[in-house]
Parts: sequence; structure tokens; C-alpha cells
Amino acid sequence: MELVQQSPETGLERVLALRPADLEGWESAAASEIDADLAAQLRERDAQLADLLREWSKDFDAADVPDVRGSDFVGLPQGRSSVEPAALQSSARRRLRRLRPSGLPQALALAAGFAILCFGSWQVQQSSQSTTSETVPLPSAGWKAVSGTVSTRVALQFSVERRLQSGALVEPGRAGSSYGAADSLILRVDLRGEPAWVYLFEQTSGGPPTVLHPSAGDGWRLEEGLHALSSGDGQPLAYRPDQPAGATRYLAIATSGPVDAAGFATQVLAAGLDRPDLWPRPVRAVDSFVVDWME
Amino acid sequence: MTDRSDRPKLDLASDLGQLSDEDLMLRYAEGQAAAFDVLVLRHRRRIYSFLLRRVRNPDRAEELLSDVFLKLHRAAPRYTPEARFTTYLYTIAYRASLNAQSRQRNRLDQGVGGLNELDSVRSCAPAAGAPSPDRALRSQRAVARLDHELAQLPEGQQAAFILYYREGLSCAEAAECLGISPAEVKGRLAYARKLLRERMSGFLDAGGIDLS
Repeated sequence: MELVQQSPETGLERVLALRPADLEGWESAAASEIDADLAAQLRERDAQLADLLREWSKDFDAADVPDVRGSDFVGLPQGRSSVEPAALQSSARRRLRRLRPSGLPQALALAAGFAILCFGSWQVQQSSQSTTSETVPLPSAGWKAVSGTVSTRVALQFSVERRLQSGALVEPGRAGSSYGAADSLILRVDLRGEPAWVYLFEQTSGGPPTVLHPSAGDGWRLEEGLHALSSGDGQPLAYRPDQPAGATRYLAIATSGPVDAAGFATQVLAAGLDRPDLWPRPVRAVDSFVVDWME
Repeated sequence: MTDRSDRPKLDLASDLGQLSDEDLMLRYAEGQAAAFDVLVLRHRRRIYSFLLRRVRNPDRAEELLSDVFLKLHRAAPRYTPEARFTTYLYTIAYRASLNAQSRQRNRLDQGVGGLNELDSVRSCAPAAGAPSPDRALRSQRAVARLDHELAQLPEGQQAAFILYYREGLSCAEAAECLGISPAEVKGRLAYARKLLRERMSGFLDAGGIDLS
């Protein structure tokens, strides 16, 4: 039951304020009972307000809208709130201690808050010293995707999970940006064309490329589509280096078969990301971006 | 509403654009990542616009936009199309903006608040009834003044006003977003509109406003 005074004035205010589809019979009927001169005066003034409202309601230009994409969220946990319950955090923290590389400051994991779950099955593996000895200079900005020589394309994408006082925030990643101690990367691979084995690498300035994923085994064989980096039990992995400092390159290499990943990364980087004719077989496509980690 | 079993069987990403929001959400819940891309592209503009009107700060609105779609992503496994998807999405956005406003109020209480950027239009809005030599400029000022007056409305009225007039929701849909009855929405809209007519009287009495 609507508890309003069904006066002519109320009826007219409703008629002026609402679209016809939202009006009830009594509202229109009550409005018709109001003094004609007063009604005309109110209608005229309201029409001017309506003009103003139409102007006010004009949409934004496309350039004004942030470039948020659905793929920014693929691979993040579902069914949980942005601030995780303490019990879940504890559970994730235990998993983190077990799986993350030694030497990672505990504070990093604690600062991550919600990101702790994503860290859950940390699988960063340092590359073997015996497989790489070359160093490749880093450019100051990120590269765009480079297509391979055959019908396979790979795009290495990322989101950034930032731990703020108000909770966890996920933003689209921007190559060339600087990230700090409370940030971690959520990596995704968009593979187009033929199925391929995909390997992910990290390279800090002046250092050799090291394998990020897969940590062991026959490689990460992917069908065409968007794939989030996740552990064996389906937990998405968020990543940040254990000693964050300076420009760091993240590299995806797609091959037609399993390879000695670390050695191939070095050869691809030495050949140049824009020289697919010089890449070792069976490399099909590569993509890379650079971010700047601040301590 | 669409049931999972009778949805059209389309697998190509290009076909996703033809699906309803509700179907896209169900597809995403089933693991089709591209469906979420379509949903975000389809709605990010209007949700950002809504959030910007609510929190009146582009940076904060952008943060909230990510937050809204993150919440939508997380809700996907338990999503059931019981209401229009847009109503569902606006409900998430409204609650996010409400939380943000609450946090902002707390910061202001602690003396950490910043400039309300959309309120900067106040400086160019003339006092009601002030003469202006240029009709176009006066129109711009009138819109800016309206925006400022809207920001002064009580939170509940303001939210109902934006959802109904700017976002085009029905009274019933706005009511669902706000968690109140449709009758209450009607009351808020009528009262807010009457109040705005009064507060904008200086502009409205000056012989109309040229918005052409």
C-alpha cells in the first residue's frame, strides 16, 4: 500500500517526474484535477528543466571511458569477496610458504592481502646457470606483439593486482609502467592459430632470461584461446620478483613442440624479437613486455 | 528469462555479440572467457558514467569500474538470470559507489579529503538569476548548476535520480538496485524534481535556456 497523499499536486508532480509507463491510474487522474493555470505554469517550468536534464544526461566521449577489458579479470578467483576472510588468508599463506622460492620476503606475501590466494601455488623457478650465460640489454619500454612466421600468434597480457588500504584493486597492466611492493602481475597468454607449447620467461636488466612457467615437465601445451597462468589445482598465479628492482622483461615464446626453454629464450632474444627469420626452430611466435619494479 | 538449457548454441567469439547479457553471463560462468569481454565492452561506458556521477572523481570512478567488474566476475558462478542483467550490474555499481562515498566521508572526517572534481563547476555557475550576455554560455552554466544541485541532493534521491533519468531504468528496476519499493522511488523522483525546479528557478525564470 502506498502511503502518499493522493492530492492533485502530488499527482501532477508524479506526472511531471515519471515516464508514462511508470505512472499509475490515480496519479494521472489526480493530476487532471489541478487548476489548469497552475498546471500549465508548472508544466512550462518543468519542460525547461527536462531540457536541461537531457543535456546533462548526454553520454561521455569514448575516449573518456577507461579501457577496462574482460580479459583483465580472467584467471582471478571467483566466488569470493575482495577482502578475503582471515581463515582463507591463513590457508593461502601456508601454501605460499611451501611453494614460493626461498628468499622471498614474507612481507611481500602479507602485503598482498587478497593477492595471497593468487600467490597460492607459486611456481617461479630460477633457471639453471649452466644453460644461459649471455645477457641481453633491455630496452626502456615494452615491445608490441611480434607475429611468428607461421599461422600462430601469441600475446602476453597482464593485469596488476594492487593492495590498497581500501582493499584489493585489479587494473589492466600497462607495459612500461612502474610497480611497487604491493603489486603483483597476473599473466595471461592469448594464443591464436595452431596449438602450441608456450613458455614464459623473466629477464631482469643485465641478467639472463629465467623460466617462469612451466616450472618443469613437457611444457605448457595450449589450444587457441585465452589462458590464465594457473597452478595444477586451478589456482591462478600472481607474480612478482623476489628481489624487485629495475626494468624487467616478461617474455612468452610459442613453439610447435617441447624445447629446452631457457636456451631457446636466450637465442630468441639474441636474434631479436622482430627477426622471426633468425629464431631457432621450432619457435613460432613471441611476445614481450617490460615493467619497472620499484623496491 | 533464459534458462541454461534452451540457450542458443553459439561458440564463435564473433557470435557472442548477438547474445543477451544474461546469456553472456551464463556462458562466462561455464568458462567461456570471451563472453566476459563482450559484457565488459558492452557496459563499461554506462557503468563508468554512472560511477562518475556518483563519486564525482574520474580516478575514483575508474578504480570503482574495475572493482564492479571484478565483483561481477566473482559472482559469475552463482549468477542466475532472475532479473535484467543491467539491473543486477547497476546494483553492484550502486553498492560500490555507496561504499566509496562512505570511505570518502571517513577520509573527510579525518581531514584527508581532496577536491570534489565535478564540483569545480560550482565556480563557473552564476548565482541564480544573474544576467548573462551569452545564451550558449548561460546554457552551459545552467547544466553545470544543475549538476551541482544534483550533488547536493540527499544520497538516496540522487541515486534514484541518476538511475532513472540518466541510466534509463524503470521505477521498478531502480527500486531493485536501491533496495527500496517502487513507490519510494517515485516519491524520491518527484520530490527531487520539484526541489531542482525550485533551486534552478533563477535559470528557468530567465526566459528559458538555449540548448541548441
